[in-house]
Amino acid sequence: MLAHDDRAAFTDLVRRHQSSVRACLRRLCAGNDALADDLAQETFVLAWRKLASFRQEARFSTWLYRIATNCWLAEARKRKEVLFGDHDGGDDDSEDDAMTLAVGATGDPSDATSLRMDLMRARETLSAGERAAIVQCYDNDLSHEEAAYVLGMPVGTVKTHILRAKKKLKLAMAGWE
Amino acid sequence: MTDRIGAAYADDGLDAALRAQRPQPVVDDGFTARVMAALPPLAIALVPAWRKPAVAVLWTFAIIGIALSLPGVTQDLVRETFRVYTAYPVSLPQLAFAVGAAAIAMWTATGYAVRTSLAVEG
Repeated sequence: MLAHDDRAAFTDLVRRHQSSVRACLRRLCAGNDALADDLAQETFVLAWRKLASFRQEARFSTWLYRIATNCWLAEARKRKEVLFGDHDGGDDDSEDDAMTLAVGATGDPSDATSLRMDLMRARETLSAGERAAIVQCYDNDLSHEEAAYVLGMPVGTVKTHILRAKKKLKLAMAGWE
Repeated sequence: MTDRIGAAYADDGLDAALRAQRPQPVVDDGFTARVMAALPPLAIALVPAWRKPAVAVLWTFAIIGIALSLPGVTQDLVRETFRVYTAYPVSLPQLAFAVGAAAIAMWTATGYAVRTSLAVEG
C-alpha cells in the first residue's frame, strides 16, 4: 500500500476505524467531542506517517488505540494535567465526588437510562489512568495485555487501575443497590 | 426492573454494566474526508524524524575522519586560517558585524530546518 501511495486504501482504513477511534477518544476526553475529533484526526495522520513501522505485533485497531492514547496524553500534558501517576486525579477528591454521586443516585432509581447516566457521571470522577484503563478494557474490549500495550504501562498497573476504578464506581453507584 | 438493575451492581455485575455502556458507533459525517485532506504526501511522511540529526552526526564523523587521515593538510588549513584572521587587524564594529552576520545565518538555517521538520510532522 505504501509503495504506491495508495490513498484509496488508507481511506478505507480510516472509514473502517474512525468510529471506534473517535468513540474511544470521546470517552477519554470526557465529553469534549470537538477535542476528541481533533485528536482522532491527528491519530490517523500519525498512523499514515508511521504505517511503515506497523509490524503487525498487535491488531491494527489496537495499534490505532495506542497512537490515539499517545495523542490524548500529549494533549493532556500540554494542558498540564497529571496523568497515570500514583495519585493521578487524587483519590480522595474522586472518592468525595463519588460519594456525592451516590447520594444523588438514591433519588429515584427507576429506569435504565438514568442508571446509565449516573454511571457515565461516575466515570467522569475517575482519574485519567483509571478512566483510560476502563475505556480500553470495557469500551474497546481489550485484554489486560492489550490495554497495557495501548497505555504503555505494565499489565499489573492496568489491573490496579481497573480495581481502583471499580471500587470508586461501586461507591458512586451505591444508591442503585 | 429496579431490582434487576440494582442486582447488576453486585460485585460481578459492574462488569456487565460497564460492558453494556459501550459507546455507540460514531457517524463519519465528513471525518474521513477531513483526515484525507490533512494527510501529507507520502514522500514527506516517510522521512523519519531522526534523519536530520543522524545526517549531522555522520557529516561530523566524516569531517573528523578526513582530518585524522590527512593530518598535514588539516594542519596547513588550520594554520593558514589562523594566520589570515590574526594578520588582519579587526576592529570591534567589524567583529560585532561578523558575529551578527553569523548569528543571522545560523538562525535562518535553524528556522528553515524547523519549518521543514514541522511540515514533516504534519
